[in-house]
Amino acid sequence: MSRGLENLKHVVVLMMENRSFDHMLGGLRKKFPKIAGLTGTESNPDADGNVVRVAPDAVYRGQLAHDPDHHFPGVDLQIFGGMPFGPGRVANMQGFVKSYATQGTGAQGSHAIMNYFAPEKIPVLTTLATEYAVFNGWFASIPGPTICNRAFAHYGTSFGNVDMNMFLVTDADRAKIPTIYERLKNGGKSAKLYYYDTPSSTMEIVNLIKDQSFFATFDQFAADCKSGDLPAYSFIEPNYSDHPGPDGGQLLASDQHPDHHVLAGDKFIASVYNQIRIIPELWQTTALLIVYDEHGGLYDHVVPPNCQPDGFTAAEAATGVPGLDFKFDRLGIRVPAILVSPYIARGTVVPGPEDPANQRVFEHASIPATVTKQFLAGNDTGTPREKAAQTFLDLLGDNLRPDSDCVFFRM
Amino acid sequence: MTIEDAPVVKVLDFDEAEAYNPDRPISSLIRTQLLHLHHAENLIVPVRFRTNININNLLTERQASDYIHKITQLLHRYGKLGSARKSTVERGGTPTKVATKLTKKTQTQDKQRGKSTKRTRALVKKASKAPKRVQSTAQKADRKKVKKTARNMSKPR
Repeated sequence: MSRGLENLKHVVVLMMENRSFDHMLGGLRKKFPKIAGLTGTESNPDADGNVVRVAPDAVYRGQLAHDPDHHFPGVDLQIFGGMPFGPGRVANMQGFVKSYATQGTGAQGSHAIMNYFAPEKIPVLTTLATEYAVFNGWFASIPGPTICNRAFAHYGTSFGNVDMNMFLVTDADRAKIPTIYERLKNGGKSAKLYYYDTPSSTMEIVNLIKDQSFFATFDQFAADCKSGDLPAYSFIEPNYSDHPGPDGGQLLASDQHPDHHVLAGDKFIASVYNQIRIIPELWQTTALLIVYDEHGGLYDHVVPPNCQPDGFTAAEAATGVPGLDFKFDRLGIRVPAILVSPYIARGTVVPGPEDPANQRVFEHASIPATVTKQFLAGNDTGTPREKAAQTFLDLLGDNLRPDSDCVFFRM
Repeated sequence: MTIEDAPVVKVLDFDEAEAYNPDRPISSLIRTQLLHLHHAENLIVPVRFRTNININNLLTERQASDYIHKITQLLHRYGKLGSARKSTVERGGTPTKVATKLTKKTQTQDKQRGKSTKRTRALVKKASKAPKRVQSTAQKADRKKVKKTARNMSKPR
């Protein structure tokens, strides 16, 4: 076991919203060739057959006012370019522009889906990606929307859901497949889900409200960091809406869901990082994972790989794709994922499908799998998907980087 | 070595006031959140404390966040009991019955004080027409019971 892993006391996960790997980090490839981003030649046809190339023209707000489709049929179109389901169908990542055109953008507007951020436009995310570890192969758990993807981070499964319908987990379900919070509590460890504030809240409050100890707000996260009360496992949710603050101020959505201001999210990521970074004892004993729940309909060039089925099937009526009963045997589209710790060497790039000999494929079930492995050795309650998922704390090495080598963000 | 030695990266400034748009139409994510919380409200919050807000009328982030705030608070208040409790009204304490109880109490007090029943009748009329006041009294009793039950639940066994 490495020194970093021996010293580890806390795992913190910050899950952002709806941006693909290439959209946020694809521009890093030019300067950091190991990062499996964009060459600049990737393209998609539009509805008229014109070739639309990727371009570093993403803007913080206003370009994606029509929310790109990220529901199951829309993502199927994005991955398979519009080929109907059937034998011999091959994923080609050629349907993003066509899909966006169905959202009322007009032909020209649909081209915006191929835009990505120049790295200097989102300095917090791109700095962390290059200063610590970035995953070339972290995928959404399902080629579908938010709710079912976030469920994989909490349960290691979505209980057969692939859509945004009501997601209610019964006590009987949770007895068989407990959340990572319940598992930790039952194992004598602490866990908390920090939602931003009550006007933003969290979807999981519906399923876990019986145990109030699992919930706190982001203000409490800051307080817990300072007081030394941070739990073994923390899951942070950003602010999902622009709304008035308690003192009459203005709180900006920080989730980066289109069309929320991307810099508000970049700033939020910095604030989470800084809370940990400024407390030496906490900094040296914490691993922070920053990950996005799904790609939000935005272009990525990497074909999602197959995966371990999780024992559920979503029928054709649920997938919305004629003929397709989905067996949860294929991952969703690639998302940005960054692991931060002073025990991680600068510039670590975890290889993905671009390096078949060394690739490591991660998805959101990797989160409960990792936390369980770290804090609940021997616990066997995970789903088949979770048990098959890669874990990521082995990236922590023996060498503690000095303060002079670990960045701090000035707000 | 301290944090002072750390290399500094500046977070980009932007016009936050200009970016703030609480009147933005809600996304499918927030719409789903409303549906979930509305369902939870009906499942967990006692009838008399529900908001009676029609979520179909919530179209902007400001409107949605206001509802989400209210329901999150209610879920924290009542969720720990696990299921919807019957409110005082549901348990047989209809406004009329509560008003009757008040009448008897007031009549007894008035008799003891030697006052006429005229005041009593006026109060009875007022009480039976004022479910809000009755509800408010019942709400306090209900909240006390919820707290007491929660305290008992949290005691080690």
